[in-house]
Amino acid sequence: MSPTNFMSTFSKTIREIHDAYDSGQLTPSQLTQRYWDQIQKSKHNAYITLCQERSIAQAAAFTQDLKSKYGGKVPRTQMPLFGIPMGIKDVQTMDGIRTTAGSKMLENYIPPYTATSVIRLEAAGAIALGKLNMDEFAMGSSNENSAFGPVIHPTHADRVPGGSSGGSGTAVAADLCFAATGTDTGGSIRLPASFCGIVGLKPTYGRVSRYGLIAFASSLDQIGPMTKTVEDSALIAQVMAGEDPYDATSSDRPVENWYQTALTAQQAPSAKGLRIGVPKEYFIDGIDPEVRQAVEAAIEKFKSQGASIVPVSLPHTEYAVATYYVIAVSEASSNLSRMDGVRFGVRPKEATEASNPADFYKKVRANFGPEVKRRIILGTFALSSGYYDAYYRRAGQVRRLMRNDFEAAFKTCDVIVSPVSPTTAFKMGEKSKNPLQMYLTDIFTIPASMAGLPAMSVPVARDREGLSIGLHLIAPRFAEETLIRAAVLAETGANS
Amino acid sequence: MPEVNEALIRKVADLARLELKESEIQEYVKSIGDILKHVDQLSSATVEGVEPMIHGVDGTLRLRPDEIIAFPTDEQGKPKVMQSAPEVMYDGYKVPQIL
Repeated sequence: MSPTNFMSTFSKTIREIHDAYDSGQLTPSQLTQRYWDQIQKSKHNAYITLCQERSIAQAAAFTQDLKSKYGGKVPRTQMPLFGIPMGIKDVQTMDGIRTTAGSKMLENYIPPYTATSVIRLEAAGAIALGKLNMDEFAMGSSNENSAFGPVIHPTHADRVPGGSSGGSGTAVAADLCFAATGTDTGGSIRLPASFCGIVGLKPTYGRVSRYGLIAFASSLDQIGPMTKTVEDSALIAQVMAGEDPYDATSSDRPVENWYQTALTAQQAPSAKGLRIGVPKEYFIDGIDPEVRQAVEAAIEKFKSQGASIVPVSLPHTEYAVATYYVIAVSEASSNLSRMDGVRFGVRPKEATEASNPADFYKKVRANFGPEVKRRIILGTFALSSGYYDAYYRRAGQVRRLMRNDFEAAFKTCDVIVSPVSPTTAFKMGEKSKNPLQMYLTDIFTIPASMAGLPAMSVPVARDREGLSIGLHLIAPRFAEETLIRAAVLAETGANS
Repeated sequence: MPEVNEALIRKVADLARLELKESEIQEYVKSIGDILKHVDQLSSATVEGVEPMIHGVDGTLRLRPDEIIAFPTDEQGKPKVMQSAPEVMYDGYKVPQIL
C-alpha cells in the first residue's frame, strides 16, 4: 500500500498498522493525528472527555522510541498494542482524567488511580484518545440515557448505536479511534457491536480485572474489547486479561494465546470437529425475518466449513430478562449507594443547606438520571424486607438453572450461536418511553452474562436498510479459544 | 406481586434516598408496575432445592496479604484520594452540620 493510500484509509488490523510503522510508511504521531482530524469533524457525540494533548505527546514519544530505541521495528512481543489509538469507555478510571460513567453525579470526578485494564493497555503501547460516551452507569440498551446526550449511530443518524457501550460502538465504526473498550453486564458490549457493525468480545466473568471499573452489577460486569476484526479483539482481550490482586474475583487461570488462536484459524479456516449448538429458544417469533435469515445463513456457512450443527435447548431463557432485572438492579442499588456526595462526585448547593442526613443524600442523588433512579427503586424494592425471598433469592435460583441449562447444552456442543438481538438498530426514541420493551432488546445476551460465559458479536450481514446484523456466539467458561476460533470462521464466512 | 401504587414508590424511593417529582412518581408507578408484572413470571419456575447463584465465580475468593499500602500523594504530600472530595477541611472530608 502506498503512503498516500495508507493515510487516506483506515487500516483494518493492528498487524497492518505495525507493518506500516515498520516500513516507515506511517508513524504513531501521524496515525494519532489522523484520528484527531476525524474526531474534530465528527458529530456523533461519541466522546465525553478528550485526551488530545496527552495522546499527541504519547504518540510523539512512541514515534521517537520506534526510531531510537527499537531500531525502526515495532516491539510486537513486549508491546503488542504499540502506538494503537484507542477510546476508553468512560466507566474505567484513569488517574487525573475525568471519569463520569455518563452521569451528572460524577461530572467533576477526577479519579486518583487507573483501572488495571487501562494500565495493561497502556503498558502494551495503546494510546488513549479519550473517554467514550455511554448510558449512565452503563444502564441502557440505546445510549439514550447518557447525561452527556445520546450517541449517534455511525451510519444512520436516526438510529441508536445500542448501549450501554454506544460511544465505543460508534467510535470504532466511524473511525474515531482504532479500537475501544466496552463493558458488558447484560449485553452492553455485544449489542452496540451488533448495531454498529463491529466485533465485540465479552470475556468469561473474572478474566479481566474490574479494579477501577465503576460498578453497576458486580457479579455480572465484565470489560472487553470492541474492534473491527476478531483478531484484534482477541489480542486486546488477551492484553487486558489475567489475575489481579486488586480484584478478588479475577481468575488466576493462565491466559492462552488468543491472538495466535485467531491467526491460526484465519490461516486454515476449517470448522472441522466444531459442534455448533443452535438453541431453539433463541429463534422465537418476533425476531426480524432478516435477522433470522442472516443467522441461519451463518449457521449454514459453519456447516459448509465442516462444523456439525447440533440442536440444543436452554429452557430457562424465557426467564432471562426477569431474572436480570432483579439481580442487576439489586446489585446496582447497593453499589450506587456510594454516590453520597461526601467523598467524591457532585454536591449541589441545596445539599449543603440540608437539615438532616437523609435530606442531604436526597439532594445529592437528585443528580441521577431517570433510568438510574428507576433501577435503584426496583433494586431497593427487590432487596426490601418481605420481598427478598420472592424476588432476589428466587432470581438467584433461576439464574443457577440458566447456568445449568448451558452446562447441559455444552455437553453436546462447543459453541452456541444465536442472533445478538431480535432486531437491527432501532430508531431513537422508539423504545425510550417503554422501559420494558427496551429491556427485552437484551433477551439473547443476558443469559450468557448470568452464567458468566464468554460471548461475542460478529457482524455477518446487513439488512435492506444497510443496518448491521450481528451473530452471537457463546462458549463455555474460560473457553475463549474456542469462541475466538468460531468467531474467525463466522467473520471469514461473512467476508467471502 | 404487591400493587405498585404511589405509596409504594414513595416508600421505596425514601428508603433509597431518592427525591422524586410528582411526574416521576406517576411514570414509575406505570413502568415499575409493568416491569414487576414481567418479573412475576419467575413465580412459575420450579426452584425447589436450587441453591441461589449469587456470585459470578465459583469457590472462595482469594485474599491478599494484609499489608498497609500508602495511597499515592500529590505534590503537597496530601493523599490524592482527597482531590476528588467535594469539600475538604484539615485533610478530612467536610460535610454540612446536620445536628
